[in-house]
Amino acid sequence: MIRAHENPLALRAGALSILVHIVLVAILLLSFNWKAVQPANVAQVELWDSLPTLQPVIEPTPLPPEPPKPEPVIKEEPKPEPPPEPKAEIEIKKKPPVEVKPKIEKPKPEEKPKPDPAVKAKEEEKKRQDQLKKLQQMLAEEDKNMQHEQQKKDAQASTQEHAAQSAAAAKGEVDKYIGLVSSKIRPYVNKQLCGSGKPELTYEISLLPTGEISGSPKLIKGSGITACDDAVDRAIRQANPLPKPSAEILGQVRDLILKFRPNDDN
Amino acid sequence: MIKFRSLLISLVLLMPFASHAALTVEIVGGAAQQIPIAIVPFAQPANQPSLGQQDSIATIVGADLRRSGLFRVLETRAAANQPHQLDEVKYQEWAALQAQALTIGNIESLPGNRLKVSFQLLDVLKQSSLGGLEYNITPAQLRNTAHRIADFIYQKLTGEMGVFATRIAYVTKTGTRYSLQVADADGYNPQTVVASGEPIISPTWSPDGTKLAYVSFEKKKPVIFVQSLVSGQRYVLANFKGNNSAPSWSPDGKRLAIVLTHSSNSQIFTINADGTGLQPLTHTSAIDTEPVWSPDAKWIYFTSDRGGSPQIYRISSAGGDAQRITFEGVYNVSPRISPDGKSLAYIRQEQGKFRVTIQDLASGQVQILSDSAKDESPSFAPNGRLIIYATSINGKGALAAVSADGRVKQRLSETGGDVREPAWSPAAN
Repeated sequence: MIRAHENPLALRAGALSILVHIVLVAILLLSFNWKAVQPANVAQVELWDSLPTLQPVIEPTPLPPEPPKPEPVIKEEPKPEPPPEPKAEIEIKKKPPVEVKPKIEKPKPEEKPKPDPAVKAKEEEKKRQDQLKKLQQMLAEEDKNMQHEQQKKDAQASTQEHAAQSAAAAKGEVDKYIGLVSSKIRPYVNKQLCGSGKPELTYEISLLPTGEISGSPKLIKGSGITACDDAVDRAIRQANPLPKPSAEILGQVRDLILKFRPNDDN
Repeated sequence: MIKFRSLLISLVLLMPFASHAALTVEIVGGAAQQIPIAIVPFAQPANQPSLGQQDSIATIVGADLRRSGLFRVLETRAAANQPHQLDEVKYQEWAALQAQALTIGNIESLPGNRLKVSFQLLDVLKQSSLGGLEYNITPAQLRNTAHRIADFIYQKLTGEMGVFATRIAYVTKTGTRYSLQVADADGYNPQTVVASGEPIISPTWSPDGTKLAYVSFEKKKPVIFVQSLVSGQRYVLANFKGNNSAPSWSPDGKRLAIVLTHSSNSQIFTINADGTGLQPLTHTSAIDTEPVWSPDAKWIYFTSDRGGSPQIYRISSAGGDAQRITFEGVYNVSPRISPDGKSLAYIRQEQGKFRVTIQDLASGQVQILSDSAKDESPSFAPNGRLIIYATSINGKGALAAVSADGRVKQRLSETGGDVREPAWSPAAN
């Protein structure tokens, strides 16, 4: 709707861009259901990271005809932005392993849209700057604001992104890692020393990024049979180093609760 | 909006905490069966004390632990470094050999033909000492000292009492000669307690491990003797009219339950350890025999055919009515109570095979432990983990042992002799 060709006044353009930003923020806070509209997301995650670099590239293209796009883009923008918030939730929720699965899928789509809108918005602004030099100052200020926002967003995004990635990759990868840990320790567990009942005992360990156990296994809940507790302690130590966790899941597996039921068969 | 925003903020604020929630890893079951342990040969003085052919303290300890089934004794020659002192131990080397525990020690000569034996048990993975002991002994006590070291290691790592320093009494028959012998639990150092041209049966240890009661036919009829293992002196405990048999010590060692036929059929009596104070316990027209005291001294378990077939009953040690204990099968004899009083071992005959059986006294659950055919005389190790018994191999009596859970079976006597009537001693002091 807003066309550079129409030679609108600087004020008009400025007002519009301000309006757009407000709308963006509002949508950010309000909208959650937009995602349904959004297309495939896969490549978009990369855009997030590269936003800064994209801007320079975009600026060179002063083409007037393109302006029309901005609006549709703008509308779309809102949709993407909201995701950041959801992401935060999602990430947090993801940390508790159980809830993770359903939520994880949603976050990805939302996040991906964000990059596009932001980029597009910036493009529009830049184009306007070229056409309407008078507006430069205002635009510059806006740009600064935008950048601030973007930086903040970027910061959030990067953490969120990490979380989102771990969440995504995570559930599967964490599960896989847990399986690896269990099967690394189990061969060393000597249940002969655990009596004839059904003892249960719990140790806690902390991992270094290498998979090595940091410090000593900490007995949280003993079996009541000292020899059994000791045998499991030795099993944990003998299994050291545990498999090296990938960087993506390290945060989630750094502290592990190890629950043993030596006399149960599985 | 505000609601949502505050939610968002609180979520963001909570993130750092939430991110520290630890994941839970479930580890069900366990595949290890044995504790890997390395025992470095002890440092010895030049005039090496003799323990017998190529035996050393380390090999005796290793053999004891291996025989328990709970340890895997590692070859120590693979280690570049053979430490004898704590500061010589390089834990990484032993961890690389997969050892969880390591034993180091020294033998030093002392004045007066005595030896100082010291050792330390080390946790390789924790890189710390689990303790150690020092003994001042005569050279003749070296083997027993090795067993005591094995007991220490066993107790530290399994939480159960070790029984390597205990002894086993048994009867051998060579030609027509019967001999009651006592040997170390690993079969070494057999000593003859008494020998006779007539049968000797039913040896049983006094609770303090210093005396044996047994039945000898040397007077052409079964008579019960008590013999000191310290002095070798013996006396007649019961030589009443008829048969005198099946002695069993009360837990305090002051009385024995015995079986007499002096009135008619076999009945159970109790008698003071000096042979005085005879009192009847059972009064039936059936055969009541093989009494054994429960560890709490409240009950005497015994075999009786009062129900038509031999079964195991119990009666208060103060007398009264008997209760039947075994109900499965048509032939259950030779009861023995586990040291913790919770299990009853006995011999069950089924389809012509006599096998060691164990019954949980609380639940009544029964498990047949041995898979041979002519088993008799079960006897619990003082820690209750093993049951030694007599069986028949190629027509000759031999000793075997089975773990009380049935998982481990082993033959104990390799010699060509005819060995019967085993009795495991109480724990070493």
